[in-house]
Amino acid sequence: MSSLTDVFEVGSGLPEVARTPRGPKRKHGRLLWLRLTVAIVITVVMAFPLYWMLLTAFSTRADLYAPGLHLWPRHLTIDNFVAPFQAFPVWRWFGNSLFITVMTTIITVICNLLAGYAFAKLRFRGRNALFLVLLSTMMIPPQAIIVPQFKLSVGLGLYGSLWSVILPESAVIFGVFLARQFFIAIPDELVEAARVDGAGQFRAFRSVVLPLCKPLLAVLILLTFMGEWNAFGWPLVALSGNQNQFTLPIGIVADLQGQYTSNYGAIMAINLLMILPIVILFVAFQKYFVEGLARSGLK
Amino acid sequence: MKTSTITRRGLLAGTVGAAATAVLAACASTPGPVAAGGPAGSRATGTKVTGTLTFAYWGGSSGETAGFAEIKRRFEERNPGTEIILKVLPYTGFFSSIDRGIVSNTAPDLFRVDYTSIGKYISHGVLLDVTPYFSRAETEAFLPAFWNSVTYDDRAWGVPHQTDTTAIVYSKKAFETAGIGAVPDRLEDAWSWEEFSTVAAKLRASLPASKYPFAYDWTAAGAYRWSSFLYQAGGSLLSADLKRPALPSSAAAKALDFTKSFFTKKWVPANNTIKTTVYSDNFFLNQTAPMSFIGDFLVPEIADKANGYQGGEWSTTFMPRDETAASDLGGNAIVGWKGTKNPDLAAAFMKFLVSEDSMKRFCESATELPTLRTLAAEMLDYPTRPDSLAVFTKQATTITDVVVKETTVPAFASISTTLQDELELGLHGGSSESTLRAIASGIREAIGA
Amino acid sequence: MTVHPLRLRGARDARQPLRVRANTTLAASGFILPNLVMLGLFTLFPLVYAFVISFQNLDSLGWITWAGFGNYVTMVTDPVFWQSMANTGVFTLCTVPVGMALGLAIAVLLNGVLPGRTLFRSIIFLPLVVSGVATGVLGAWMFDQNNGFIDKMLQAIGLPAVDWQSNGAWALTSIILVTLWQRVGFDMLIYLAGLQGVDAGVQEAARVDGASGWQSFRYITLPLLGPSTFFLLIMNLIYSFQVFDTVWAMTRGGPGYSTTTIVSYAYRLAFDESGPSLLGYGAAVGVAIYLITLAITAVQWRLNIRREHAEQGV
Repeated sequence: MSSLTDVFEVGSGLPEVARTPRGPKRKHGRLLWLRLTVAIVITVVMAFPLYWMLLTAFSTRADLYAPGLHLWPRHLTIDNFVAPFQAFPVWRWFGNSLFITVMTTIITVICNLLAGYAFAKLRFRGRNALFLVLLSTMMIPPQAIIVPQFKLSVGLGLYGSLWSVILPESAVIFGVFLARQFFIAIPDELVEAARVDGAGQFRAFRSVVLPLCKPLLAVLILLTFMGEWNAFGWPLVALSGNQNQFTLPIGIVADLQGQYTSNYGAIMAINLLMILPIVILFVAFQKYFVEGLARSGLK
Repeated sequence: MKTSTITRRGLLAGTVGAAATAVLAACASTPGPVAAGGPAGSRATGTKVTGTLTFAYWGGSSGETAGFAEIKRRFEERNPGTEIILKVLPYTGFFSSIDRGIVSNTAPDLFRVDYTSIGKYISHGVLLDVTPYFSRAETEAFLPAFWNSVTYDDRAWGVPHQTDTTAIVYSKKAFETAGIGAVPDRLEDAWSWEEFSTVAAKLRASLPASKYPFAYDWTAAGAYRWSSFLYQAGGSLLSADLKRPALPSSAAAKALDFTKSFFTKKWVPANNTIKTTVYSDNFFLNQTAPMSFIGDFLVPEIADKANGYQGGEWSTTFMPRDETAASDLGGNAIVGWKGTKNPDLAAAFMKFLVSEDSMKRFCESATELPTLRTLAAEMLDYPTRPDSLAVFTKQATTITDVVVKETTVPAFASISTTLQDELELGLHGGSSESTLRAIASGIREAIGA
Repeated sequence: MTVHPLRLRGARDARQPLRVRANTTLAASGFILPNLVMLGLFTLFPLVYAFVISFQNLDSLGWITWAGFGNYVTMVTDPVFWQSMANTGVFTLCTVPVGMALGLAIAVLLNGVLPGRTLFRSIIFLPLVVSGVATGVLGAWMFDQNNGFIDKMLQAIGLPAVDWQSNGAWALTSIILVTLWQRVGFDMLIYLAGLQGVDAGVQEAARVDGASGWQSFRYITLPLLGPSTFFLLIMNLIYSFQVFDTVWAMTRGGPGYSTTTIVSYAYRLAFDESGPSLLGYGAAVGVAIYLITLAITAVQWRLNIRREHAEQGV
C-alpha cells in the first residue's frame, strides 16, 4: 500500500484551505461548511463514549443514578479511584499487565526480527516451504486452541505463573511479515559489504541492518505492546487462580464487574486507568500505530 | 409432602456441655501419627503444628474478609511457627479456578465451598478426608443437617462453617407511599403468596414505569433459590430417596407460573433474570426496586453509610409462604485439598475455624448464621442492624430437612447449571410445561437416574 | 497489501559455493529457530492436541473417558451451538458491511481539504486502540437498562426506553453498535490510504467530461478501491467471526444465549463457572472454529487469485 505515514500528517488542513481559490465558487464554500459540520458531528459521536467514561469516573454515585439526563458533572469526586484501590490490588494488576506486556513484547520482537531477516536476506534450502508452514499458523484462532493450551501449560508446569501467559502469547507470526517486507527493501550490497569485512551473519545483522530499522522496531514494539496490554481470552483462563496475578482486563471483568456491579463510577475509574497507557502511546506515536495497523490489520 | 423444620432450639437436647468441652478439648489427644483413614477422632490435633497453609475464599463482603483476617491472626498467635496465607478470589469464577488449581497441582490447601458445590468435589475424590481428626462429640456439636452436608459414605470431607439464607429488605418510605400497612414482624405472620401479590401490586401502582416493586436473588449461581417457591408450594426437586426428579408436579407448575408472573406483571425489572450481571441487592441500592430478596451477608453492604442504601429508612421481613414456609440453604463449608503437603495443619486450622469462639466472632463480623448447636440456640451479637439479623435468624429455621438434603446431593452442581439454563428460558416466556420437563431431564442426567 | 506467500521476492538464486551455503543454512536456522520453536510448541502442537481432546470427555477436575465422535454428535444436535453460530452470522453480517460503508463515507469526507481533519481522523481512530474489555464494560454501562446513557437520552427526546439487557435482539444490537464504534476507525484508515492512490487528475478529467460527483465516485474511485475493500473484508470477517472480549465484558453472552457468539460458547463450555465444564466438547467447538476459519481463508485465496487474473487481463 502507498505511504501511509502522511494519512495522518499534521498540518495538511489549514494551509491548504488558505490556498483554495476564493471568489466565484461560493458553492464550494458552502460545501466545505457542510462537510465540516458533518465531520464535527461524527467526531463528537465517536468521542462521546470516551467522554462518558471520563465523566462517570469522576461522578458521585448519587449523580449517576439520579433520574434525568445530565451531560456534565454536577459534583466532581475522586472517590471512585479510592474505593477500588482499597478493595483490590489494582497497582499489582497494573504491574502484572506491564510485566507480561513488556516481556511478551521483548520475546516477540526479537523472534520476529530474526526470522523476518532470515526470510528476506538469507538463502537456504526449504525456505519457501518453511515460510508456508509459518504462514499456516496465522489461520489458527487463539480461541480455538484454548483447551489444549491449558493442558499444555499444566504439563509444562507453567500454570500458576505469569509465564503461562507470556510464552504462549509470544508465539506470533504477524511481525515476521512486517519485518520481512522491511528487510527486503534494504539493499543486499549493504549486508554483503559487512560480510566481506569478515563479519558473521549475526554481526552483520547487528551492526549494519539493525541500526537501519528504527521505524520497523517502533511499529513492532507498539503493536505487540498494544495487543498484549489488551489481551483477554487466554489470560482469563491462565491467571484466574490468583488475584495477585490478574492483569487489568482480568481484574475488571472478574473482580470489579462481579462485586461492583452497580458501582459504575469505580469500574470506569479503573477502566480509565487501563486505557490510559495505550492512549498516551497512541497520541505520542500515532504515525507508527497507523502504519502498523494498516499493514497488518492486526487488532 | 411432609417437611420437618430444624428448630435450632429444639435440637439442643443437652449437648451444649459436650459440644463446648469438645471444642475446648484441643489438648486431650493421643500423640503420634496415625494413618489417614483411621477411626473418627483418632488423629491428634493437639500436637504441635508448623508450616504454611494457603486458604482460599471469595471476598463476599468486608465483614467476611475482616472475620477471616482475625481468625488467621489468632491462629498464628496460638500456634507459633505457622503461617496462614489468605488467598482472596472473586466469587464469579472461584470454583473454576479451584478446579484448574486441582488439575495443575497448584490448588490451595484449604478452600471454601458452598453446600451446592461440595458434592462435586466429594465425588471426584479430590478432598482431604478429615474423619480421623474429629471425635464423635465434636461432630455432634454441629446441627445434624449441616454435618450431614459434609459427610459422604460415613467419611467427613470438610466442616460446615456458616449458613445464610434469604429474606426481604424494603424501603419504609416506598411502602408508606404505596399505602401498605403493617409488615409482618413474626415468622408465623409472614405474607402468604396472595398477600405478597397484593403488596407487589400496590407498589406497582405507586411507582413510575422505570421502577419496579422488587427484585429476587436468583442471579447466576443463585438460580437454585427459585426452588424456595417450589418448596413453599409443597413441592421438591427430587424424590424422597433423592434418586429421581420430582418434577413436573402441580406444585412446580404453580411455583413457575407464580414466578413468571413477576415479569408479565412488571413486578421485577426485566433484567432481574438468571443470566444477568445485576444482582438483586444492586436493584435495591440503585433504588430501581424499593424491595429486594437478599442474603443476610449483604446487610452490611446495604447498611453502609457511604455506599449503602440512600433511600431513607429500610427494614426487613420474611419470605412469603404458601403451603409451607421455606427458604434456601446458603452458606459454606471449609474443605481441604487432598494434595495438601500438610494435612495436620490443614485439619488444625479447619477445627479452629469452627471452634465456638471463632464461629461466633466470624458470624457476627460477617452477619451470617452459625452451624453449631450452641450458637444456633442463642441470638448472636451482631454489630450492624441486629433487628434485621433477627429476622434472618428466624427465617433460617425454615430451611427444611428436604432443602438441606436436596441442596447437598453430589450432583447439585450440575443440577444448578440446569436450573440456570432452563429457568432463564422459562422466565423469559418459554412454556412452563416444557421448562419443567427440561429441568427434570437435566436432573435425571445429573444424578444418573 | 495482503500477503502473497507464493511471491517470495528478494531471493536471487545465485550459485554459491557449497561451504558458504552450508554456513548460510546454519546461520539461517539460528535466525529462525526461536520463532519456530515458539510457534511449534504453543500453536501447532496445541492445534493437533485440540483434535485429540475433542474425542475425549474431559471434565474440569481432569476425569477423562473416550468419547469417540460423541462431542461432534452433541455439537450437531446442540441447539445452543447452532444458536451461537446464528448469532455470530448475524453479528458478522451487521458489523462488516455497515462498518465498511461507514468507514468509506468518513474516509471520503475527510479525504479532501478540511480544516482540522487530522484531529477528526485521530479521534475517530482512537477507539481502535482501546481494549475490547474496556469497550465492553463501557458498553454495558451506556446501554444499562435502568440508568444508562442511551435509555436516558432516548427518554429525554421523548422516545420509549429500550430493554437493551433483557431483550435478546436488542442486546445483540447493542453489541453490534459498540463494535461498529470500535472498528469504524480501522475501515476509515484503510480507505483513506486507498484514496491516496486514486489519481485526482483522472477524477478532474471525468468531471470535465460532465460526470457528476457521484458518477465519478461510482465508476472511477470505487473500483480503484478494490484492493482496500478486499483487504478489509477479510480482516473484518475474521475479526467478527472470532469476537470474544467485547461480548464477554458486555453481556457474558446473555440474556439467555442471545448474544453468545461461537467463541464465547467455546469458552463457556470449557472454562466458565456457570457452564457445564465440558473441556472435551469445548475443544471440539474450537476445532469447528478452526475449520471454519480455514474455509474463509480458502475462499479468500481463490477470490484473490481470480481478482489478480482479472486485473492482469485488463
